[in-house]
Amino acid sequence: MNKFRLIIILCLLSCILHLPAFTLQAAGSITAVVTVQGTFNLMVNTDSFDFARLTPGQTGGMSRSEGVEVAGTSSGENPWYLKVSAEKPLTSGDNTIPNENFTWHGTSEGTGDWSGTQEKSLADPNVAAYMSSAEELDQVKKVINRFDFMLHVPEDTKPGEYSTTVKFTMTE
Amino acid sequence: MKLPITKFQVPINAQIPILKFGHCLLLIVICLVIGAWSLVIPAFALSINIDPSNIKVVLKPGETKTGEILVQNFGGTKIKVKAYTEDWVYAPDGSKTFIRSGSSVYSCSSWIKLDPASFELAPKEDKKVKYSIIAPNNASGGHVSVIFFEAVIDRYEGIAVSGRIGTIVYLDTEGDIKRSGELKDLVIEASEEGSPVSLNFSFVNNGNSHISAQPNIKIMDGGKMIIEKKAKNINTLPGDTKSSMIKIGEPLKEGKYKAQVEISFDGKTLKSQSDFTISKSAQK
Repeated sequence: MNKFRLIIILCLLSCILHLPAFTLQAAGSITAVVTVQGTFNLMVNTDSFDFARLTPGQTGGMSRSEGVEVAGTSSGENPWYLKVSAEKPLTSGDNTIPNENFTWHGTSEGTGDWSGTQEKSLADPNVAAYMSSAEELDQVKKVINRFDFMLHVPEDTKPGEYSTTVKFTMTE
Repeated sequence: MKLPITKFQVPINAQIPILKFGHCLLLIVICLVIGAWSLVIPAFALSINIDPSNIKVVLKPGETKTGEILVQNFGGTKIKVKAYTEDWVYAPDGSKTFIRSGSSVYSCSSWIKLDPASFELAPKEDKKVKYSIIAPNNASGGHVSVIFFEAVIDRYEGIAVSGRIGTIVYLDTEGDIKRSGELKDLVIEASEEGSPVSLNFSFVNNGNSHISAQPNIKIMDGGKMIIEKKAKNINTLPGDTKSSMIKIGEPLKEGKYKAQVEISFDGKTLKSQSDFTISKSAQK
């Protein structure tokens, strides 16, 4: 009799333990959820560059012959823009070199609008260096742009070590 | 006499992974390709990713909206990140010009709080930055801002290079949005067969919020539409006038045509049309 009760209890326990599995089998499917994260990415290949030694009246390019490479990628629906600016004029103590003398030009691997084919001044914050194309948005394509910077040192510039921060900005 | 099979013996039909000369050669080629590729592809000192790249919110006056922006360091070095807001206006080329927070009449920068506002990210690390947008009790119309995430440069030699990436914020005040515009000054530049045809027009945003309008161009020959072309969206803030020029790539034969510009936004479509003539090419 005890054995019979034990068997019934074990059968009931087995049914209760397997109930979730039966439920799944009855439903015949499970729901899989995945969140695909958006890409809006800015890459810059250096944290500094210099113009070596320039004399007043001289115009020179950057020592870094390979330029500064800046890449952007977006999986969004809207076009993205890349801008380049200088935080402040090149400064050495109280002396400055106005940003009108600090210029850039370069090349782009993208199929969008690149404004660096002609020399541009860092004094103008309105011009986008690069505007993405519809094709690049569709393909979530990484676009590499190469910037070469030039500096003209005005005749009346005092000697010193001049510095500033060149900033690349990426937004929609 | 049969030898007893020991654990060191291998059955005759077993597959033994032996690298033959061909395999070695293939491996060397793969290594060389990867090596060359790493030289061609530039290594990026800074690689910062954000999600989302824009936020659109509708708030009642006095209401608060909260959310998160994911900031990721995809680069190989630790970076310090500063989060802050700025205002923006549209530049003539359609890009955004960023200005000091609070300097635009359509700014909502001071309504946005960020937490944390500065943090460090190790390589491959990410951080969720919480934002709260608090609409004041007297809020009205549309407002914009940008939340920037900037890599802070501590140590450098020469001229420092930094990067910042932004989430654009569009805010509408519930119950107080008027999106209206005017399409004007349609001028068609067309001369002779084979020469490019271009349509010039202006769009004026005379509402009180941001408008992203979709232009659509139609060229009609008699009653029949022969060319239809969608152009890039025209984005404006209240009070902006945006002049556009759309070129028709397809060559048109000698004859009389009608050009129609349609601009659609917010369920409305503005139309403007004009007749033009293509003359016979002088070269023929």
